[in-house]
Amino acid sequence: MSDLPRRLRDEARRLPSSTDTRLAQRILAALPPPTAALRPLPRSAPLRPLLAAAAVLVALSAGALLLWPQRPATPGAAPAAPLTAGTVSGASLPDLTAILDATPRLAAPANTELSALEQDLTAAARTLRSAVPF
Amino acid sequence: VADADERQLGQAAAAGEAAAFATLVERWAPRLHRWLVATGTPHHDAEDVVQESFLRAHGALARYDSRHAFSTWLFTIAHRRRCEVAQRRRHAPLADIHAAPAAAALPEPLPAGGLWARARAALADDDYQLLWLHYAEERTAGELATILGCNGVAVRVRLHRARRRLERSLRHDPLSTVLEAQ
Repeated sequence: MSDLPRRLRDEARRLPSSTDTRLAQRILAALPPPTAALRPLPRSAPLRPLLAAAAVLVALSAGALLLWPQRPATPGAAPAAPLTAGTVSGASLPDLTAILDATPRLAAPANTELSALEQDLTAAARTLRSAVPF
Repeated sequence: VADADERQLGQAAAAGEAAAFATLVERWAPRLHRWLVATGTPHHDAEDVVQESFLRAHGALARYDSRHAFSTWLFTIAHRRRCEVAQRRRHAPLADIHAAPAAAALPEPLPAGGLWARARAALADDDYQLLWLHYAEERTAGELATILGCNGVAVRVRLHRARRRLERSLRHDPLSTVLEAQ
């Protein structure tokens, strides 16, 4: 077997290695100052309390949303009474205005309730017109 | 340097111990420099490559994998940096290339007529570098694969071929018979 590998190793060991320490000193001088950021975070310990805190926050938020009281759309205003044909007849003009303001817009024009309401409103307006002296 | 000791130093440096990193710099900066100069990197470029390699390693200490020797990691970083510098030199203007031919022609630590100087003359750069890392820096084939970014089997094949090529070259070199007779 060739003794070339041994000769290569032997000669490499005899070769001078740079003993100049200035290079090492230059490298060490160029290093950034030590900071905490260089330290790797421990893998498990700090994450557990963070995850637990996040889970508690999520649970509290969900509970608060479920238990929150339902409020009327306009604070202080009483919920409008259900609008039926009976409530309109005999009402005064300001009452009618208030009722109309409080009544939600009906989406479907074919609603039978709407046609009854229209008839009542027309009758009420006729009554009001006859009551006004001019 | 024992592997275990080197790994411990690497882990301590990664944990933020400046003294451990300083020890690694003092141990490995001269070896990296010798390797670079012996494989044809001009002296001033070699110093820059060594310095930048250590700075990069320091910046990436959190990613150091202690399954590998710290020096293998350093050689890997330095090899990449060396390739970048060599590529930059290839694209440099012709005047810059001719400005420093002496350093590239005869690397500093290689005595003329020695086995390594003849290997340098006989082999292609890649083969010579492979032999140097294996025999002078005592890197295993697995470590060479990591450093050079190639397959371990390919490294063994290339090593074998480079050795045979060198042997053939030495057989036909009249100087080698004279030196072996001495």
